[in-house]
Amino acid sequence: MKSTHTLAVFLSIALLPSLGFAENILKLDEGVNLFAINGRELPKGSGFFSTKGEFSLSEGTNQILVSYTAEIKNGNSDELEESELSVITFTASDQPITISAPGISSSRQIEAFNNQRNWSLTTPDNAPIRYTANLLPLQGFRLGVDYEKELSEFNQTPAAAAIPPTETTALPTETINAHDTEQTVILKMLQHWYKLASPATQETFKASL
Amino acid sequence: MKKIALTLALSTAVFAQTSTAATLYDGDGLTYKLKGDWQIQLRDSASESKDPDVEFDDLELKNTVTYDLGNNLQAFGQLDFSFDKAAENQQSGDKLEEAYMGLKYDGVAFRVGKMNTSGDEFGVEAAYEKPAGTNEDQFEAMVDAGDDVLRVDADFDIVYLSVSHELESTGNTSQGDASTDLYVSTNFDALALAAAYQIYDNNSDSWGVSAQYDAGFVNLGADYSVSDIDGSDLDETTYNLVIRFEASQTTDFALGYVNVDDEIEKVDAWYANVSYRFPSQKNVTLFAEISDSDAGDESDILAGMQIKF
Repeated sequence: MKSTHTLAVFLSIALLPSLGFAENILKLDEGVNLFAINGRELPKGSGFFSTKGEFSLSEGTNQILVSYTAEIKNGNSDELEESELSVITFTASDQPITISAPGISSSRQIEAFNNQRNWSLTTPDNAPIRYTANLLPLQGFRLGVDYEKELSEFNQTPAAAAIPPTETTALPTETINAHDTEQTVILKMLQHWYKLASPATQETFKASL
Repeated sequence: MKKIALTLALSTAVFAQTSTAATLYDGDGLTYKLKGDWQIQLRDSASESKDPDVEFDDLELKNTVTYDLGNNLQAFGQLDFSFDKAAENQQSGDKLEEAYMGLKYDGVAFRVGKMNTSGDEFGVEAAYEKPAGTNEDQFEAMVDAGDDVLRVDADFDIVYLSVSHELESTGNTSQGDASTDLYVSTNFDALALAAAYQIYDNNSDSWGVSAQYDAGFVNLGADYSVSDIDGSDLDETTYNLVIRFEASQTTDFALGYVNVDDEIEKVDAWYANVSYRFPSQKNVTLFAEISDSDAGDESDILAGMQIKF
Protein backbone atom coordinates (compact mmCIF):
# COMPACT_ATOMS: atom_id res chain seq x y z
CA MET A 1 0.00 0.00 0.00
CA LYS A 2 2.91 2.26 0.73
CA SER A 3 4.23 1.77 -2.76
CA THR A 4 0.82 2.74 -4.12
CA HIS A 5 0.83 5.98 -2.18
CA THR A 6 4.38 6.73 -3.29
CA LEU A 7 3.31 6.20 -6.86
CA ALA A 8 0.24 8.35 -6.34
CA VAL A 9 2.31 11.21 -5.04
CA PHE A 10 4.69 10.85 -7.96
CA LEU A 11 1.82 10.92 -10.41
CA SER A 12 0.19 13.88 -8.73
CA ILE A 13 3.42 15.84 -9.13
CA ALA A 14 4.68 14.71 -12.46
CA LEU A 15 2.36 12.78 -14.66
CA LEU A 16 -1.38 12.76 -14.47
CA PRO A 17 -3.11 15.23 -16.76
CA SER A 18 -6.54 16.63 -16.20
CA LEU A 19 -9.29 14.18 -16.94
CA GLY A 20 -11.65 16.93 -17.96
CA PHE A 21 -10.77 16.88 -21.68
CA ALA A 22 -13.62 14.84 -23.09
CA GLU A 23 -14.86 17.82 -25.10
CA ASN A 24 -11.42 18.82 -26.35
CA ILE A 25 -11.90 17.60 -29.89
CA LEU A 26 -10.47 18.96 -33.11
CA LYS A 27 -12.77 18.75 -36.13
CA LEU A 28 -11.38 19.09 -39.65
CA ASP A 29 -13.36 20.97 -42.24
CA GLU A 30 -13.33 19.74 -45.84
CA GLY A 31 -9.89 19.77 -47.44
CA VAL A 32 -7.94 20.17 -44.20
CA ASN A 33 -5.18 17.60 -43.77
CA LEU A 34 -3.89 16.88 -40.28
CA PHE A 35 -0.37 15.47 -39.99
CA ALA A 36 0.48 15.74 -36.31
CA ILE A 37 -0.92 16.71 -32.93
CA ASN A 38 1.38 17.92 -30.17
CA GLY A 39 4.48 16.66 -31.91
CA ARG A 40 3.11 13.20 -32.69
CA GLU A 41 2.54 12.16 -36.28
CA LEU A 42 -0.78 10.57 -37.11
CA PRO A 43 -0.99 7.16 -38.74
CA LYS A 44 -2.10 6.97 -42.35
CA GLY A 45 -4.34 4.64 -44.25
CA SER A 46 -7.07 3.91 -41.72
CA GLY A 47 -10.73 4.67 -42.03
CA PHE A 48 -10.98 4.24 -45.79
CA PHE A 49 -14.73 4.81 -45.94
CA SER A 50 -14.94 6.90 -42.81
CA THR A 51 -16.13 10.46 -42.88
CA LYS A 52 -14.69 11.02 -39.40
CA GLY A 53 -12.49 14.00 -39.07
CA GLU A 54 -12.27 14.33 -35.31
CA PHE A 55 -9.22 14.10 -33.13
CA SER A 56 -8.67 14.43 -29.41
CA LEU A 57 -6.74 17.39 -28.00
CA SER A 58 -5.11 18.09 -24.68
CA GLU A 59 -6.60 20.56 -22.26
CA GLY A 60 -4.59 23.76 -22.57
CA THR A 61 -1.96 24.47 -25.18
CA ASN A 62 -2.01 22.36 -28.34
CA GLN A 63 0.11 22.38 -31.46
CA ILE A 64 -1.02 20.86 -34.76
CA LEU A 65 0.55 20.43 -38.19
CA VAL A 66 -1.91 20.92 -41.05
CA SER A 67 -2.20 21.69 -44.74
CA TYR A 68 -5.12 22.45 -47.02
CA THR A 69 -5.94 20.80 -50.33
CA ALA A 70 -7.61 23.27 -52.67
CA GLU A 71 -9.26 22.72 -56.02
CA ILE A 72 -7.63 25.11 -58.46
CA LYS A 73 -9.40 25.77 -61.74
CA ASN A 74 -7.10 25.21 -64.68
CA GLY A 75 -8.89 25.64 -67.97
CA ASN A 76 -11.89 23.36 -67.98
CA SER A 77 -10.50 21.03 -65.34
CA ASP A 78 -9.71 21.27 -61.66
CA GLU A 79 -6.32 20.50 -60.19
CA LEU A 80 -5.67 19.65 -56.58
CA GLU A 81 -3.07 21.91 -55.05
CA GLU A 82 -1.82 21.54 -51.50
CA SER A 83 -0.84 24.48 -49.34
CA GLU A 84 2.40 24.62 -47.42
CA LEU A 85 2.39 22.96 -44.01
CA SER A 86 1.28 25.21 -41.16
CA VAL A 87 2.20 24.75 -37.52
CA ILE A 88 -0.66 26.14 -35.46
CA THR A 89 -0.63 26.66 -31.72
CA PHE A 90 -3.78 27.39 -29.75
CA THR A 91 -5.48 26.74 -26.45
CA ALA A 92 -8.24 24.16 -26.01
CA SER A 93 -10.64 24.66 -23.19
CA ASP A 94 -13.13 21.83 -22.85
CA GLN A 95 -14.97 22.41 -26.14
CA PRO A 96 -14.83 21.15 -29.74
CA ILE A 97 -12.78 23.24 -32.17
CA THR A 98 -13.26 23.22 -35.94
CA ILE A 99 -10.40 24.19 -38.22
CA SER A 100 -11.13 25.40 -41.72
CA ALA A 101 -9.48 27.35 -44.53
CA PRO A 102 -10.88 30.21 -46.58
CA GLY A 103 -12.35 29.48 -50.01
CA ILE A 104 -9.45 29.01 -52.41
CA SER A 105 -9.88 28.56 -56.15
CA SER A 106 -6.75 30.03 -57.74
CA SER A 107 -2.99 29.69 -57.51
CA ARG A 108 -2.75 33.27 -56.36
CA GLN A 109 -5.18 32.61 -53.52
CA ILE A 110 -3.22 29.61 -52.32
CA GLU A 111 -0.01 31.66 -52.40
CA ALA A 112 -1.76 34.35 -50.36
CA PHE A 113 -2.96 31.68 -47.94
CA ASN A 114 0.59 30.39 -47.52
CA ASN A 115 1.75 33.90 -46.72
CA GLN A 116 -1.12 34.88 -44.45
CA ARG A 117 -1.93 31.48 -42.91
CA ASN A 118 -5.43 32.80 -42.26
CA TRP A 119 -6.88 29.60 -40.89
CA SER A 120 -10.13 29.70 -39.02
CA LEU A 121 -10.43 27.96 -35.65
CA THR A 122 -13.89 28.22 -34.17
CA THR A 123 -16.03 26.83 -31.39
CA PRO A 124 -19.49 25.31 -32.08
CA ASP A 125 -21.08 28.75 -31.62
CA ASN A 126 -18.66 30.18 -34.22
CA ALA A 127 -16.57 32.05 -31.69
CA PRO A 128 -13.02 32.40 -33.06
CA ILE A 129 -10.15 30.73 -31.24
CA ARG A 130 -6.94 32.76 -31.08
CA TYR A 131 -3.92 31.03 -32.53
CA THR A 132 -0.42 31.57 -33.82
CA ALA A 133 0.74 29.97 -37.06
CA ASN A 134 4.01 29.53 -38.92
CA LEU A 135 4.98 27.55 -41.97
CA LEU A 136 6.99 24.44 -41.19
CA PRO A 137 10.29 25.06 -42.99
CA LEU A 138 11.13 21.98 -45.06
CA GLN A 139 14.14 21.67 -47.30
CA GLY A 140 14.92 18.94 -49.81
CA PHE A 141 12.98 15.86 -50.86
CA ARG A 142 9.45 15.69 -49.55
CA LEU A 143 9.09 11.93 -49.63
CA GLY A 144 9.19 10.19 -46.27
CA VAL A 145 9.46 13.37 -44.22
CA ASP A 146 9.83 12.70 -40.48
CA TYR A 147 7.33 15.24 -39.21
CA GLU A 148 8.01 14.47 -35.57
CA LYS A 149 11.69 15.32 -36.08
CA GLU A 150 10.85 18.42 -38.10
CA LEU A 151 8.43 19.63 -35.43
CA SER A 152 10.97 18.96 -32.71
CA GLU A 153 13.49 21.13 -34.55
CA PHE A 154 10.81 23.76 -35.22
CA ASN A 155 10.07 23.93 -31.51
CA GLN A 156 13.69 24.85 -30.83
CA THR A 157 13.23 28.03 -32.88
CA PRO A 158 11.81 31.36 -31.67
CA ALA A 159 8.87 31.08 -34.13
CA ALA A 160 5.56 32.34 -32.73
CA ALA A 161 3.91 28.93 -33.00
CA ALA A 162 6.85 27.05 -31.50
CA ILE A 163 6.39 25.47 -28.10
CA PRO A 164 9.47 24.82 -26.00
CA PRO A 165 9.86 21.07 -25.45
CA THR A 166 8.97 21.32 -21.77
CA GLU A 167 5.54 22.63 -22.73
CA THR A 168 4.67 20.22 -25.51
CA THR A 169 3.56 17.63 -22.98
CA ALA A 170 0.92 19.07 -20.71
CA LEU A 171 1.93 18.73 -17.09
CA PRO A 172 -0.46 16.87 -14.84
CA THR A 173 -3.03 18.66 -12.79
CA GLU A 174 -4.93 15.66 -11.49
CA THR A 175 -4.33 14.94 -7.86
CA ILE A 176 -4.43 11.48 -6.42
CA ASN A 177 -6.55 11.57 -3.34
CA ALA A 178 -5.45 9.81 -0.21
CA HIS A 179 -8.62 7.74 -0.12
CA ASP A 180 -8.24 6.54 -3.69
CA THR A 181 -8.10 2.80 -3.88
CA GLU A 182 -5.28 1.04 -5.62
CA GLN A 183 -7.53 0.22 -8.57
CA THR A 184 -8.59 3.87 -8.83
CA VAL A 185 -4.98 4.94 -9.07
CA ILE A 186 -4.26 2.22 -11.62
CA LEU A 187 -7.24 3.39 -13.65
CA LYS A 188 -5.96 6.95 -13.64
CA MET A 189 -2.54 5.73 -14.69
CA LEU A 190 -4.03 3.77 -17.58
CA GLN A 191 -5.99 6.78 -18.69
CA HIS A 192 -2.93 8.96 -18.40
CA TRP A 193 -0.63 6.73 -20.44
CA TYR A 194 -3.35 6.06 -23.02
CA LYS A 195 -3.68 9.78 -23.59
CA LEU A 196 0.05 10.29 -23.84
CA ALA A 197 0.41 7.48 -26.38
CA SER A 198 0.44 8.24 -30.09
CA PRO A 199 -2.68 7.21 -32.03
CA ALA A 200 -0.74 4.29 -33.51
CA THR A 201 0.29 3.10 -30.06
CA GLN A 202 -3.29 3.50 -28.85
CA GLU A 203 -4.49 1.28 -31.69
CA THR A 204 -1.80 -1.30 -30.95
CA PHE A 205 -2.81 -1.27 -27.32
CA LYS A 206 -6.51 -1.68 -28.09
CA ALA A 207 -5.76 -4.53 -30.47
CA SER A 208 -3.78 -6.28 -27.74
CA LEU A 209 -6.76 -6.40 -25.36
CA MET B 1 -19.45 9.53 -18.98
CA LYS B 2 -16.53 11.70 -19.88
CA LYS B 3 -14.25 8.67 -19.86
CA ILE B 4 -16.42 7.01 -22.48
CA ALA B 5 -16.45 10.18 -24.52
CA LEU B 6 -12.69 10.30 -24.25
CA THR B 7 -12.30 6.78 -25.55
CA LEU B 8 -14.64 7.48 -28.46
CA ALA B 9 -12.78 10.63 -29.31
CA LEU B 10 -9.46 8.85 -29.30
CA SER B 11 -10.78 6.00 -31.41
CA THR B 12 -11.59 8.43 -34.20
CA ALA B 13 -8.00 9.61 -34.32
CA VAL B 14 -7.06 6.79 -36.68
CA PHE B 15 -9.07 8.33 -39.49
CA ALA B 16 -6.29 10.57 -40.66
CA GLN B 17 -7.24 12.81 -43.57
CA THR B 18 -3.95 13.20 -45.30
CA SER B 19 -3.57 13.70 -49.02
CA THR B 20 -0.79 12.84 -51.36
CA ALA B 21 1.79 15.57 -51.45
CA ALA B 22 2.55 16.54 -55.04
CA THR B 23 5.72 18.39 -54.11
CA LEU B 24 8.67 16.03 -54.53
CA TYR B 25 11.46 18.48 -53.84
CA ASP B 26 11.57 21.93 -52.31
CA GLY B 27 14.88 23.51 -51.48
CA ASP B 28 17.30 26.28 -52.44
CA GLY B 29 14.61 28.05 -54.44
CA LEU B 30 13.72 25.01 -56.53
CA THR B 31 10.31 23.37 -56.32
CA TYR B 32 9.57 20.23 -58.31
CA LYS B 33 6.02 18.95 -58.40
CA LEU B 34 4.65 15.85 -60.04
CA LYS B 35 0.95 16.07 -60.74
CA GLY B 36 -1.31 13.41 -62.16
CA ASP B 37 -4.81 13.14 -63.55
CA TRP B 38 -5.80 9.57 -64.32
CA GLN B 39 -9.25 8.45 -65.31
CA ILE B 40 -10.50 5.09 -66.52
CA GLN B 41 -14.12 4.35 -67.28
CA LEU B 42 -16.32 1.51 -68.44
CA ARG B 43 -18.50 3.09 -71.10
CA ASP B 44 -21.41 2.07 -73.27
CA SER B 45 -21.38 5.00 -75.68
CA ALA B 46 -24.27 6.56 -77.55
CA SER B 47 -23.37 4.66 -80.71
CA GLU B 48 -25.31 1.42 -81.28
CA SER B 49 -22.50 0.11 -83.44
CA LYS B 50 -20.03 0.18 -80.55
CA ASP B 51 -19.89 -2.37 -77.75
CA PRO B 52 -19.13 -1.33 -74.16
CA ASP B 53 -15.47 -0.45 -73.81
CA VAL B 54 -12.86 0.42 -71.23
CA GLU B 55 -11.92 4.00 -72.06
CA PHE B 56 -9.03 6.10 -70.86
CA ASP B 57 -9.27 9.81 -70.29
CA ASP B 58 -6.35 12.10 -69.58
CA LEU B 59 -3.89 9.66 -67.97
CA GLU B 60 -1.71 12.73 -67.56
CA LEU B 61 1.57 13.17 -65.75
CA LYS B 62 2.59 16.79 -65.28
CA ASN B 63 6.10 17.75 -64.31
CA THR B 64 6.24 21.28 -62.94
CA VAL B 65 9.46 23.05 -61.98
CA THR B 66 9.60 26.47 -60.35
CA TYR B 67 12.72 28.48 -59.54
CA ASP B 68 12.55 31.39 -57.15
CA LEU B 69 14.64 34.15 -58.75
CA GLY B 70 14.22 36.56 -55.85
CA ASN B 71 12.43 39.89 -55.68
CA ASN B 72 9.09 38.09 -56.11
CA LEU B 73 10.12 36.81 -59.55
CA GLN B 74 9.78 33.14 -60.47
CA ALA B 75 10.75 31.08 -63.49
CA PHE B 76 8.56 28.08 -64.21
CA GLY B 77 8.12 25.31 -66.73
CA GLN B 78 5.78 22.38 -67.26
CA LEU B 79 5.87 19.21 -69.30
CA ASP B 80 2.53 17.44 -69.44
CA PHE B 81 2.48 13.94 -70.87
CA SER B 82 -0.78 12.20 -71.67
CA PHE B 83 -1.03 8.48 -72.22
CA ASP B 84 -4.73 8.03 -72.97
CA LYS B 85 -4.24 7.47 -76.70
CA ALA B 86 -1.40 5.06 -76.02
CA ALA B 87 -3.65 3.14 -73.63
CA GLU B 88 -6.30 2.92 -76.34
CA ASN B 89 -3.71 1.33 -78.63
CA GLN B 90 -4.08 4.22 -81.05
CA GLN B 91 -0.41 5.14 -80.99
CA SER B 92 2.82 3.60 -79.87
CA GLY B 93 3.91 6.23 -77.37
CA ASP B 94 2.83 9.09 -75.22
CA LYS B 95 1.43 12.44 -76.26
CA LEU B 96 2.84 15.77 -75.16
CA GLU B 97 -0.13 17.86 -74.08
CA GLU B 98 1.72 20.87 -72.74
CA ALA B 99 5.30 22.09 -72.88
CA TYR B 100 5.96 25.64 -71.79
CA MET B 101 8.19 27.91 -69.80
CA GLY B 102 7.69 31.36 -68.44
CA LEU B 103 8.23 34.01 -65.82
CA LYS B 104 5.92 35.06 -63.05
CA TYR B 105 5.96 38.27 -61.08
CA ASP B 106 3.48 38.59 -58.25
CA GLY B 107 0.11 37.70 -59.82
CA VAL B 108 1.17 38.10 -63.45
CA ALA B 109 2.60 35.19 -65.47
CA PHE B 110 3.92 35.13 -69.02
CA ARG B 111 4.59 31.83 -70.73
CA VAL B 112 5.54 30.56 -74.16
CA GLY B 113 5.11 27.14 -75.72
CA LYS B 114 2.55 24.42 -76.27
CA MET B 115 -0.49 24.95 -74.09
CA ASN B 116 -4.20 25.68 -73.88
CA THR B 117 -5.30 29.07 -75.15
CA SER B 118 -7.09 31.58 -72.92
CA GLY B 119 -10.51 30.68 -74.34
CA ASP B 120 -10.14 27.23 -72.77
CA GLU B 121 -10.83 28.88 -69.42
CA PHE B 122 -14.40 29.56 -70.55
CA GLY B 123 -17.40 27.39 -69.75
CA VAL B 124 -19.48 25.82 -66.98
CA GLU B 125 -20.12 22.37 -68.49
CA ALA B 126 -19.76 19.63 -65.85
CA ALA B 127 -19.97 16.36 -67.78
CA TYR B 128 -17.32 13.66 -67.57
CA GLU B 129 -17.88 13.04 -71.29
CA LYS B 130 -19.69 15.57 -73.42
CA PRO B 131 -22.92 14.17 -74.90
CA ALA B 132 -22.84 13.01 -78.53
CA GLY B 133 -22.81 15.81 -81.08
CA THR B 134 -22.16 18.61 -78.59
CA ASN B 135 -19.27 20.90 -77.67
CA GLU B 136 -18.29 22.12 -74.26
CA ASP B 137 -18.62 25.61 -75.73
CA GLN B 138 -17.74 27.44 -78.95
CA PHE B 139 -14.10 27.97 -77.94
CA GLU B 140 -13.66 24.24 -77.53
CA ALA B 141 -15.48 23.78 -80.86
CA MET B 142 -13.12 26.18 -82.70
CA VAL B 143 -9.65 26.08 -81.10
CA ASP B 144 -8.57 25.88 -77.47
CA ALA B 145 -4.90 24.82 -77.65
CA GLY B 146 -1.84 25.38 -79.79
CA ASP B 147 1.86 24.65 -80.28
CA ASP B 148 3.12 28.22 -80.70
CA VAL B 149 1.26 30.06 -77.97
CA LEU B 150 2.26 33.19 -76.09
CA ARG B 151 0.04 33.75 -73.08
CA VAL B 152 -0.28 36.21 -70.21
CA ASP B 153 -2.37 35.48 -67.11
CA ALA B 154 -2.98 38.20 -64.57
CA ASP B 155 -4.76 37.53 -61.30
CA PHE B 156 -5.78 40.73 -59.53
CA ASP B 157 -7.84 39.01 -56.81
CA ILE B 158 -11.16 40.52 -57.95
CA VAL B 159 -10.45 40.23 -61.66
CA TYR B 160 -8.68 37.48 -63.56
CA LEU B 161 -7.47 38.34 -67.05
CA SER B 162 -5.91 36.04 -69.63
CA VAL B 163 -4.71 36.88 -73.14
CA SER B 164 -3.15 34.42 -75.57
CA HIS B 165 -1.96 34.45 -79.15
CA GLU B 166 -1.00 31.51 -81.27
CA LEU B 167 1.47 32.25 -84.04
CA GLU B 168 0.79 31.16 -87.58
CA SER B 169 4.35 29.78 -87.81
CA THR B 170 4.22 29.54 -91.58
CA GLY B 171 6.92 27.30 -92.99
CA ASN B 172 7.42 25.44 -89.72
CA THR B 173 6.17 22.00 -88.81
CA SER B 174 3.70 23.52 -86.37
CA GLN B 175 2.19 25.99 -88.83
CA GLY B 176 -1.52 26.66 -88.64
CA ASP B 177 -4.05 29.44 -88.46
CA ALA B 178 -3.31 32.11 -85.91
CA SER B 179 -5.72 32.78 -83.08
CA THR B 180 -6.02 35.42 -80.39
CA ASP B 181 -8.03 34.87 -77.21
CA LEU B 182 -9.15 37.11 -74.38
CA TYR B 183 -10.75 35.81 -71.20
CA VAL B 184 -11.82 37.83 -68.19
CA SER B 185 -13.63 36.76 -65.02
CA THR B 186 -14.66 38.37 -61.78
CA ASN B 187 -16.32 37.39 -58.53
CA PHE B 188 -18.94 39.14 -56.45
CA ASP B 189 -19.20 37.03 -53.33
CA ALA B 190 -20.94 33.86 -54.50
CA LEU B 191 -21.47 35.08 -58.06
CA ALA B 192 -18.79 34.51 -60.72
CA LEU B 193 -19.07 36.19 -64.09
CA ALA B 194 -16.87 35.59 -67.13
CA ALA B 195 -16.57 36.64 -70.75
CA ALA B 196 -14.33 35.51 -73.59
CA TYR B 197 -13.54 36.58 -77.13
CA GLN B 198 -11.57 34.81 -79.83
CA ILE B 199 -10.37 35.73 -83.30
CA TYR B 200 -9.44 32.56 -85.19
CA ASP B 201 -7.95 33.64 -88.52
CA ASN B 202 -9.63 32.15 -91.61
CA ASN B 203 -12.13 30.33 -89.39
CA SER B 204 -14.31 32.33 -87.03
CA ASP B 205 -14.82 35.07 -84.50
CA SER B 206 -16.32 33.81 -81.22
CA TRP B 207 -17.52 35.32 -78.01
CA GLY B 208 -19.21 34.03 -74.90
CA VAL B 209 -20.51 34.95 -71.46
CA SER B 210 -21.06 32.81 -68.39
CA ALA B 211 -22.35 33.08 -64.84
CA GLN B 212 -22.08 30.79 -61.85
CA TYR B 213 -23.73 31.17 -58.48
CA ASP B 214 -22.50 29.18 -55.51
CA ALA B 215 -25.22 28.90 -52.88
CA GLY B 216 -23.27 26.46 -50.73
CA PHE B 217 -24.86 23.06 -51.16
CA VAL B 218 -26.02 23.94 -54.67
CA ASN B 219 -24.12 25.59 -57.52
CA LEU B 220 -25.90 27.01 -60.57
CA GLY B 221 -24.16 27.78 -63.84
CA ALA B 222 -25.01 28.95 -67.34
CA ASP B 223 -22.99 29.92 -70.39
CA TYR B 224 -23.70 31.10 -73.91
CA SER B 225 -21.16 31.26 -76.69
CA VAL B 226 -21.49 32.00 -80.39
CA SER B 227 -19.18 31.74 -83.40
CA ASP B 228 -19.48 33.85 -86.50
CA ILE B 229 -18.11 31.45 -89.10
CA ASP B 230 -15.92 33.05 -91.77
CA GLY B 231 -17.44 32.91 -95.26
CA SER B 232 -20.85 31.96 -93.95
CA ASP B 233 -23.98 33.83 -92.97
CA LEU B 234 -24.68 31.23 -90.34
CA ASP B 235 -23.72 31.48 -86.67
CA GLU B 236 -23.03 28.51 -84.46
CA THR B 237 -24.11 28.73 -80.84
CA THR B 238 -23.74 26.57 -77.73
CA TYR B 239 -25.33 27.09 -74.38
CA ASN B 240 -25.12 25.15 -71.14
CA LEU B 241 -27.23 25.04 -68.02
CA VAL B 242 -25.75 23.23 -65.03
CA ILE B 243 -26.85 22.56 -61.49
CA ARG B 244 -24.63 20.84 -58.96
CA PHE B 245 -25.74 19.49 -55.60
CA GLU B 246 -23.43 18.73 -52.74
CA ALA B 247 -25.27 15.88 -51.05
CA SER B 248 -22.51 15.45 -48.47
CA GLN B 249 -18.81 16.15 -48.03
CA THR B 250 -18.15 13.09 -50.16
CA THR B 251 -20.91 13.04 -52.75
CA ASP B 252 -21.80 15.48 -55.53
CA PHE B 253 -24.52 15.33 -58.16
CA ALA B 254 -24.57 17.33 -61.39
CA LEU B 255 -27.34 17.85 -63.91
CA GLY B 256 -26.71 19.58 -67.19
CA TYR B 257 -28.43 20.63 -70.37
CA VAL B 258 -26.54 21.43 -73.57
CA ASN B 259 -27.87 23.00 -76.75
CA VAL B 260 -25.83 23.31 -79.94
CA ASP B 261 -27.36 25.10 -82.91
CA ASP B 262 -25.62 25.87 -86.20
CA GLU B 263 -28.82 27.22 -87.78
CA ILE B 264 -29.03 24.07 -89.92
CA GLU B 265 -29.27 21.44 -87.24
CA LYS B 266 -30.10 21.79 -83.57
CA VAL B 267 -28.90 19.28 -80.97
CA ASP B 268 -30.40 19.04 -77.49
CA ALA B 269 -28.65 16.97 -74.88
CA TRP B 270 -28.67 16.40 -71.13
CA TYR B 271 -26.46 14.57 -68.67
CA ALA B 272 -26.51 13.57 -65.02
CA ASN B 273 -23.58 12.36 -63.00
CA VAL B 274 -22.64 11.46 -59.46
CA SER B 275 -19.19 11.69 -57.94
CA TYR B 276 -18.02 10.07 -54.70
CA ARG B 277 -14.76 11.13 -53.11
CA PHE B 278 -13.22 8.90 -50.50
CA PRO B 279 -13.15 10.87 -47.26
CA SER B 280 -9.73 9.58 -46.35
CA GLN B 281 -8.27 10.69 -49.70
CA LYS B 282 -10.11 13.37 -51.62
CA ASN B 283 -7.76 12.66 -54.53
CA VAL B 284 -9.72 9.49 -55.37
CA THR B 285 -13.15 9.74 -57.01
CA LEU B 286 -15.65 7.14 -58.18
CA PHE B 287 -18.19 8.42 -60.67
CA ALA B 288 -21.06 7.41 -62.92
CA GLU B 289 -22.83 9.32 -65.66
CA ILE B 290 -25.72 8.98 -68.06
CA SER B 291 -26.37 11.31 -70.95
CA ASP B 292 -28.71 11.49 -73.89
CA SER B 293 -28.46 13.53 -77.06
CA ASP B 294 -30.46 14.06 -80.23
CA ALA B 295 -27.24 13.18 -82.06
CA GLY B 296 -26.83 9.78 -80.40
CA ASP B 297 -28.40 6.41 -81.13
CA GLU B 298 -29.01 5.66 -77.48
CA SER B 299 -28.11 6.86 -74.01
CA ASP B 300 -24.43 7.10 -73.15
CA ILE B 301 -23.71 5.33 -69.85
CA LEU B 302 -20.38 5.22 -68.07
CA ALA B 303 -18.84 4.54 -64.66
CA GLY B 304 -15.27 4.96 -63.65
CA MET B 305 -12.56 6.05 -61.29
CA GLN B 306 -10.37 9.12 -61.22
CA ILE B 307 -7.17 9.77 -59.33
CA LYS B 308 -5.74 13.26 -59.10
CA PHE B 309 -2.59 14.23 -57.31
